Amino acid sequence: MKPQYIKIISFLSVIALIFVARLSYLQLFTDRYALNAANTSIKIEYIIPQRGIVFDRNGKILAGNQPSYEISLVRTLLKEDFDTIGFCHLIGISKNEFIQTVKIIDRDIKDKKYSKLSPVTFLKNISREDVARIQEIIFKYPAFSIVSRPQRQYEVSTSGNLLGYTNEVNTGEIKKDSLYYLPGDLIGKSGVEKAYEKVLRGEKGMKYIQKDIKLRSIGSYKNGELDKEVVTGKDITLTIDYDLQRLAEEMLANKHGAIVALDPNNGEILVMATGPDIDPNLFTGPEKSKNLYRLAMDTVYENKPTFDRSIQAAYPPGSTFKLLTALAGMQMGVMDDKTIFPCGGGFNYRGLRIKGHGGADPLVPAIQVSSNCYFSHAFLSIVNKYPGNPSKGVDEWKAIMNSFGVGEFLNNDLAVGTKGRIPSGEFYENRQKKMNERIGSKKDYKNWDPLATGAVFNGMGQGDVMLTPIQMANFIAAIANRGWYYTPHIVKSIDGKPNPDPRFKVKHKTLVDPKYFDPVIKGMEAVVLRGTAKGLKTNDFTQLAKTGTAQVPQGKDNSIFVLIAPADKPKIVVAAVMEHAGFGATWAGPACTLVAEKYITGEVKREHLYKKMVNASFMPEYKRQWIADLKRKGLYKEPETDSVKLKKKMDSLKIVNELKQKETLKNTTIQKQQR
Amino acid sequence: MRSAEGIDKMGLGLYLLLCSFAVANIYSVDAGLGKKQLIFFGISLFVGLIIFLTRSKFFENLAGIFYIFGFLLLIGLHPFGTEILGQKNWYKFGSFTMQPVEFAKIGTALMLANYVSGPDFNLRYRKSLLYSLAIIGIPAIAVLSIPDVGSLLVFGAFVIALYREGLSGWFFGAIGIVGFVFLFSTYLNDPLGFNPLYFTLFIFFTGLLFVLFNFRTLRRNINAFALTIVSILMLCSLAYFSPKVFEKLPKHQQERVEVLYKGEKQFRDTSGYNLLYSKTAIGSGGLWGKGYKQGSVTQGKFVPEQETDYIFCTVGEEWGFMGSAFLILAYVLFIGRIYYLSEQQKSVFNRVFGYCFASILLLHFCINLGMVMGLFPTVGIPLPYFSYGGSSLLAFSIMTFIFFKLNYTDKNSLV
Repeated sequence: MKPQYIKIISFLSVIALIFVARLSYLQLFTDRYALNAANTSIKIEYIIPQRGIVFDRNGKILAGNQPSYEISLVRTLLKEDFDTIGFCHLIGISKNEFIQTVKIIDRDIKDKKYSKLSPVTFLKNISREDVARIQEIIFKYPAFSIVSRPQRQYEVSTSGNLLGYTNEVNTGEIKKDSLYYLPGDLIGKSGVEKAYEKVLRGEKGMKYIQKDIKLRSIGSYKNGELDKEVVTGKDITLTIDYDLQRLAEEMLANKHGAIVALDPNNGEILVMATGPDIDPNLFTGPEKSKNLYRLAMDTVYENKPTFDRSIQAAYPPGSTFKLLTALAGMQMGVMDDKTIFPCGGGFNYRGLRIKGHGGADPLVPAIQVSSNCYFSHAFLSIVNKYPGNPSKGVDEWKAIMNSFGVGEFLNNDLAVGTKGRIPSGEFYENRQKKMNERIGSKKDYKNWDPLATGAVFNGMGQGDVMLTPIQMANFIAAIANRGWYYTPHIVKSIDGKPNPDPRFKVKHKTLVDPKYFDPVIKGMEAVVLRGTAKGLKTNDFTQLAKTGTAQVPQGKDNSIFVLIAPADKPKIVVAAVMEHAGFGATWAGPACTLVAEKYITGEVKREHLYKKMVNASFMPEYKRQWIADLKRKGLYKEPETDSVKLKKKMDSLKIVNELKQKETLKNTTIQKQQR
Repeated sequence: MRSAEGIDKMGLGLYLLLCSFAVANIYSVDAGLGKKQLIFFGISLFVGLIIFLTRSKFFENLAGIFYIFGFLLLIGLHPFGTEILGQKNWYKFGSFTMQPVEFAKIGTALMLANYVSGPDFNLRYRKSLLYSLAIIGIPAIAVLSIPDVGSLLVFGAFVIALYREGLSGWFFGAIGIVGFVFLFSTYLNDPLGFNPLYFTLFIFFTGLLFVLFNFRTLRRNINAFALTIVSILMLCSLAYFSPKVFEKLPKHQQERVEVLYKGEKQFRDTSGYNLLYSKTAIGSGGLWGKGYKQGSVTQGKFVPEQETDYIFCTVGEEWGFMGSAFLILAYVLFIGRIYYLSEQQKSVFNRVFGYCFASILLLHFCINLGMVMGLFPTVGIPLPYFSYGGSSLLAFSIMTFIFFKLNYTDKNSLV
């Protein structure tokens, strides 16, 4: 064998080894090229499903869909010899705009926001007429195509918080469900849209299409083996009665607060209104992102419209909470309906004085007049049930409270919520401990003082208890049912089938024996017949109610009201909170009774109450508080009075007033003449 | 069948395997071209049969005629050639096109074999060396004048054959060193940003040290001494001027080299495109491939020239690692088999022709696969038997059958 022969053969073998090694690197040890192949030669075309329609309980459409057309551009297909002028003429933009838009897209492609091979939105919101016209000619411009994207169309102009809105997914949401969402997809961001996102969105359809080098499709990939059919979103019927909801929202105009109504028989939420309200139409259209920003930034006068006060705001429940104090007291055996506490002209206890009505009466009259003294004593006896161990008594009370769904998450189908607060024994131990440290006392903090810690105020719904409006409605539902409730929920049926969620089929029993409810209900009856809410009596249906007026540090009292109707066979429970409005029966009360009236009789008969509610505005009070708050923080600046403007305004006011006077004069003279 | 003895069954089997696998792959890229290639395969087999029926001395005796005919075909390109894909190396008769280089290679191989087998040949004589280099050089210069760099490289195959016949291995060493210095100096200059002067000085001082250490031996041989000094100086100037020469090259040729170490992303729209997509096609094949006619890159025609120079992409994508490695194995076995058979020949003519043939295949195989897998600059030469093209397949088949015929005669001769 010649050595040259051996060398040549060795060279051949080495080359073969190098090639096989290279081949194995390319094919087995890196997926860069496989990914590149998938990205460029196979295109996945997504078919966006129609989002499910949202109905109210009576079949009224609240949120539907409308097609929204846009022109998309595949950047690589836009060549140098493109007929720019002809195209601009077709879609009705100027050449400058065209160049600008392409520039922006080029920049985004450079920043790797999109690929130059995939379609990018070029022009949004094209009218239906234009679409018809453009569609016929656009084939001349293969770089561009018309894309239809379903968009929400709202058939109502209120309840924005309840319905929620959709928007493009953010990176966090993509990470959570990266198998489904792609950049640019829509996702429910709040309200029902968020809570029922999976139901409403449907499933995107997928078509794998093979593309050739010029990005023309050359048929389906693997004969469509991997394709997926599009599944349209499921329609949802809410438990909300929109007419009732609308009424509640009207009565919340120019007020901060919330009205919640439930059907106590099944936990369905009939009304969930919050003030200020949002017009959901702000969530669609070209101004969408601007509107969303404005809503989020609207904090003047503590407006915060995106804060759903019906489920997110925890308020001191005020006197409405006395009902629960009574129930807990009786269940714990520290009192009964005949117990009389040493009252008369208010609560006097170890130097503490609380003003209040009523005398030394038993439970029913105490509820009727909302005796602060009575329920403070009642709560004290709860705390003192185990002498020397107040925490044990309070924890027992807390367990009973929690069984009414307060102080805990309701665990329902709403996108947001809050626990509220029912303090525990430990809570007061810590408070006592801190107080002891401050004054250097060596007293046993475990045997805390209900007066010094402020626990005594819990009995009348002040102090440390906090409830959301929906929790108030829920505990009233439990009272109406004499000891049980269904979790409040907002979806009645999905695609015509009852909501399958098992959470809403469990009857939650409270820890209070049904027999203790009778005196409380009698008390609530007395409230309407001759007590604090007697002004809201009507002959059309019977009501059980309790007023609440909670003191708040910022300013005027919160007006609170809870109501059950009709009394014998409850069909609806309503709870309302109006911030800084004043007495419970004056503002929250009419709202509750009107909602009940409309639900039971089908119409609002007491027009005067309705007018009073709709016309009332508490904005001046909110403004006063806001300015006071700013002043406290040293941020307030007097607005500069523009003298010329002011003068103009005064002048015009003067003219208007003069005209008015003339008019009335004329009218009176005419009337006189007629007589 | 007695007459069948002496036909190399392994060689013929591998030839048939390669050709039919090629037809299948070309068919996957483009059904029409696949059918055409099948027809050319049939024609090639027919021509092969005719070659088997000729006398084997026929090729030895008429080597000069073949050689001159091939050379004239190359020269004729200048007045009569047609430009396809920027290279004027095609003849066009109606719809049929042919590349004369493929046939000139046969003529050159026969002529070289004829000369080397002559009685007065000895590579130790300068005359023999010059004559044989002239036989290779004349058509090579004609090829260079077209210009067709890829085919020119293939003429290196004849030097490999001469190497077997006694040419010094330093010949390749020198080419290797020059190539390395050129590329390394360019590489130092462009992506690394070193002044070529440093590298030049490095070579100079290394050379100086070499001379100092071997001063005693070099002093006795003034010729070797002068040669060493001249080589060192030439290498120095090469190192210094390489980047400048490189920058003078046409832009696309520069990029073809640069893309190998700078990555294809930078040249995505020019030289990098083909490389990126050929790697994409191969790389997406995985272990078992996407299946026959299922390659999305192939079917999408993302790789230009896929049926010809880049046909290996189809194998890579649709047959995966297993198929591609199998193909590489088949080539290595086939080329190795021809070297082996050549080594066994009793006649020098047969041996030299066999070495020429095997080396042509080897260079085509190395350059083509190296290019497709991104190990070698883009040079447009086909994969033997595999790339689409009638004249290419016919020329390779003619060479194959001439060699099989020579081998057959050799096995049946009594000498």
